[in-house]
Amino acid sequence: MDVDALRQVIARMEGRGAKLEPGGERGLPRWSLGVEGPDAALGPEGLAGGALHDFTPRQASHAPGLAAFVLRLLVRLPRAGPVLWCQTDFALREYGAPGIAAFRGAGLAPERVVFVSLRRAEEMSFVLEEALGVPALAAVLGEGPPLSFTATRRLALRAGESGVPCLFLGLGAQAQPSVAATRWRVGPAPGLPHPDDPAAPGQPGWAVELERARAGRPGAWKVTWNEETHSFAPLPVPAGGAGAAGRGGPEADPAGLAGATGGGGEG
Amino acid sequence: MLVERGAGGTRITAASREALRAGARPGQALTDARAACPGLRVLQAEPEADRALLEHLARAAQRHAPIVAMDGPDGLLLDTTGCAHLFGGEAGLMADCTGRLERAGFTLRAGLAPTPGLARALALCGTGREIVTAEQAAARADALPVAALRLAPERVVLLRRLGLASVGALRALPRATLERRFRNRDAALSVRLRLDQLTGAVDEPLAPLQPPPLYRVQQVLPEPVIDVSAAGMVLGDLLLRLVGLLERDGRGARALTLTAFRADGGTSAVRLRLARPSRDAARIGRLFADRLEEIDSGFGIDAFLLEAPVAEALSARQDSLVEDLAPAPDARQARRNAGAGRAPEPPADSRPPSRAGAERHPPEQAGDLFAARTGGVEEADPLAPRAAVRAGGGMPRGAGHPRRLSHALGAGRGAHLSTAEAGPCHMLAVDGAEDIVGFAQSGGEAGRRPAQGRDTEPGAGLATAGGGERGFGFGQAGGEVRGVHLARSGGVEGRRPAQGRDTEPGAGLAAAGGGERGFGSGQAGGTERGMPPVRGGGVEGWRPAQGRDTEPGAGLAPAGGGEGGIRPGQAGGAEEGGRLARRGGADGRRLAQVRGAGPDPAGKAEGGIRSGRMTGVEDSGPLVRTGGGPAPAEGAGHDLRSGQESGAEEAACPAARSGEEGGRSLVWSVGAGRSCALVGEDGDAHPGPAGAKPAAGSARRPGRGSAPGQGGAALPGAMFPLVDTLANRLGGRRVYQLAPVASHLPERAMRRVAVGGAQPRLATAARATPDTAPDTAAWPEAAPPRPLRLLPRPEPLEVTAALPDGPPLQFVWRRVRRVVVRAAGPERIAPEWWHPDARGTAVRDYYHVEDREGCQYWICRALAPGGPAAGRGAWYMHGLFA
Repeated sequence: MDVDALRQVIARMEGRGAKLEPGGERGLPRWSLGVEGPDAALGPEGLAGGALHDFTPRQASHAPGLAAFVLRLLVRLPRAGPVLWCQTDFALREYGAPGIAAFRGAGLAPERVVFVSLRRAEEMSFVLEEALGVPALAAVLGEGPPLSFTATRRLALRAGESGVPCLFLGLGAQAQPSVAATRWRVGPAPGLPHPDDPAAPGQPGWAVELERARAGRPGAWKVTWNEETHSFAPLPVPAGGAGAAGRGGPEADPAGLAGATGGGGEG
Repeated sequence: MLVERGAGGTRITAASREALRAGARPGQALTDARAACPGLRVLQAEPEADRALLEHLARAAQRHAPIVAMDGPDGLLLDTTGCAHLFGGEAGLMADCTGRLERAGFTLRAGLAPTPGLARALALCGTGREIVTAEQAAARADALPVAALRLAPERVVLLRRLGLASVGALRALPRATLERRFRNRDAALSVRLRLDQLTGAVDEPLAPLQPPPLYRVQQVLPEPVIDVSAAGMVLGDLLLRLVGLLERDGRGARALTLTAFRADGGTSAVRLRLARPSRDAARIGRLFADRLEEIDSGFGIDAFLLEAPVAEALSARQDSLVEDLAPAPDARQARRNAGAGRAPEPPADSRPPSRAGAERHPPEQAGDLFAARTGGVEEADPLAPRAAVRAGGGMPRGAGHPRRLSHALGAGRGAHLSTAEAGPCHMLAVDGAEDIVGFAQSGGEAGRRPAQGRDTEPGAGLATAGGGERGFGFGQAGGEVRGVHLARSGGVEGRRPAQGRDTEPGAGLAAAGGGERGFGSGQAGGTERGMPPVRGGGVEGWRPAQGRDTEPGAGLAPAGGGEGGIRPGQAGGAEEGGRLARRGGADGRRLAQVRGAGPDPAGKAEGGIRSGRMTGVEDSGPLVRTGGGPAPAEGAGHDLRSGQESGAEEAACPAARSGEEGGRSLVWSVGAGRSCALVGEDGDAHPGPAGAKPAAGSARRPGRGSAPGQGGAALPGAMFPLVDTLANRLGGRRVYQLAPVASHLPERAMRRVAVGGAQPRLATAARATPDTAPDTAAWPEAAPPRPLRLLPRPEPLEVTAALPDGPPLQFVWRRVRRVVVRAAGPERIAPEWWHPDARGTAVRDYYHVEDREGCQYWICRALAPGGPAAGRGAWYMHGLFA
């Protein structure tokens, strides 16, 4: 615990808690990807605590990749405390149950994560709202069909009161109106080879697009994960590949696009 | 008339009065009866339905007494100890009880007497509504016919032939000659047994329908209500009363049941479970409020009963300073919690623990605790421990004995048997001596926790310090906390390990004072090791079994332990040593935290040593101290630091100190003395293993220590109200954490565990079953990568370009063609042939592949059952990395 964190503690003890600094906790380091491009675009607050952050996969079938991206974001979370991860049963069936070995592999202690599975997607708002009322949580994460505008508004307000960040992973590829502080669209990008074996897969890559940032500006990047530093890193451009800021779509086309249209029937 | 088809043809099982008059007899063949009386109306007997009805009546009878047992096919036994005054005395109780059944159309005979045997006899042969007091009991028993003894019919006939028509005549005979009158010994013994049960010379255990709740409050409504919203109002009242009881004993409810008794004799119940013990009436009220609609009011509800079938020590766990700020339990609770001296849990993440907060044990609170406990003490029964032990194994068998219960009730502690005996113990918690008693029970249960896999944290342990009651309760509960609490006095143990945290400490158990616990422990710990007997502490660690070997401890602490000494060795005890006991327990934990947190080896090592030392010494120290007074909480506080010194001197003269406690402390001091001898000052006296272990343990730790969280312990207390809200709304299984399982099969390698400790299981499930031993494992050190999402069932792939021995070049999954650009593997995973459900599973070769788009998958190929040589089978998608 560094000095800043201690100050934060003292501030809370004195009753100046999250309310004092609704935008996030100044005592904690800023929460961001750790890559120059996106960090600059996010603005001074980074991924603010006490706000809703919306994540959408570029295609519905990219949801696991999105979860992998968000998991790594959680690893970088400066706040201490447990994380509540709420999923619909549909998400569990369709995209698989979370594997804790991977959590640990990525650097997030599985013991910190409390899972909630929902029979019905309508319960999502209730659970997230309840959870956002607990400042002891480090983050609240929902994974399910997109929320209505009203629901996002309520979540954003609840998050603002407690200072806990709320991450919502929409399972549909279409974006819905939302009051989220940041809105991300995440798809896969060819990742790095394994350091010891060029033919084996290494760290995955993501084509990340920041569609909206309340305090920053939109942008698109390709990133990968650096296991050593627990931060994202820019994805080196393969020779002859598209530009780093490209949407990544064109490369995926040969293999993916045909299926993506058919993907609607996957459920 | 009822008949049942049996081996000898259709026979009559029961007959109405009219049929009896007509000559039908139970046991007679139907054809014979028909011959005598052709007009008989015959119905098929339905023993199952009868039993269900009886059980239903038994449940309804719980409004009269907490312990209700079904007796034979047509009887109910109620332990009314302490209940009569609620109905205006025994006569009122009898009238209310029989009146309700009569109104419902039952014919019944009842008897109320000091022993179950006599009550039964009165019901059989008395006037049908007879009440006999303790003074009249002997005389009344003598007047009963021998048929009241519940002997086999031929024996009754034999007694009659011998001219022994009444119980009095039988009792007048010298016992020896009585035996000689029977041809076989069984007959003689059964007569003697029944006779003794009648007079109360032999205890007759009841097997209650459900374990008697430790805490219950009841409200009878003047008029039946149909509107369930009335329940809300009544509930508010009941909760306040229940909370008062819990508060007095320093306990918190882990499970609650609100039972509505309907005017028509039915019952309807709402059950609530809490992730953490609580006695916050407002919070519990809110949780109930959501569920009151589940109550079926039928024709109206005329009474409500609120019980806490599972209550645990509620002490506080102060996770960190920060946590206090969270919307936490009310101030009073927080204060109490702190007072209970619970050892703080490690903070939720990898931050170093904040020591200042962690080791604070305000002395005034300690005082509070002491006072609270003392209040309950009534008398110490030196024999109690043994009885308690038995009870601890599961159902309180001894519960039937009114005499014992009565203390309990008198003391205001619930009618639990163990409790009763534990009355004294309770107190003990504070003072070492008694722990003994407590232990046993607790030990037992503790053990089982693990089984459940609670990862949770805290402790599984159990402390049993004071334990009397908890035996029962605890076990189930899991003890969390208690550990500490009791800890002090008592045993404790952490099950931490299970969580995988290897780290820590301890699984062990502490048996501090503990005499009998042997028993308990054994089970529990599983281990058993236990030596049961050990009085001073045996204990055992059960860790090993899991494979965890190692470390930490399995420990156990033998604190007092004479024989314990041995044990530890096995267990591994190194640390344990330290742990030991009483405080041991506590410390154990403490240490653990420190260690976990700080990766530095030195720290740990130190810890280890320390523990070694403490063993003897410390143990005794605290306990003794407690005897003196305020110590407990404090003890816990300094386990780490000052434990040693204090321990040392006191150890020297434990007996003297404990003298204050009088008889009770006796045992303890013995324990303490011994342990000193065994362990010596710094633990080297302990033979090899113990000494060696610690070091080893600590050395290993650091490596793992780096793991980030601390297991379930990582969850701050503020989280639990949320967990309860969600679990009660969505269903308990839908809020969970994941824990590793020692299996290399990906689909078995983890499992869901309840947040915050195993949900308490009720009733008979409390017994520890070795087979359910936890599969729980620690995290593998270097595991091959595993996917983030694992599909619930592998989905078949259509592979369009396979290489003979490698991953496919292309495959179609969910109708999308994916071109593989990178692949790693294969990783061959064979079925666990030793596992019953793994039979028939194929060997699988797994590949980690990345497609052109950048998605990473975990695909596998099932090999034909004959092994790799037999050919290759289908491809499946099993997981997704990204």
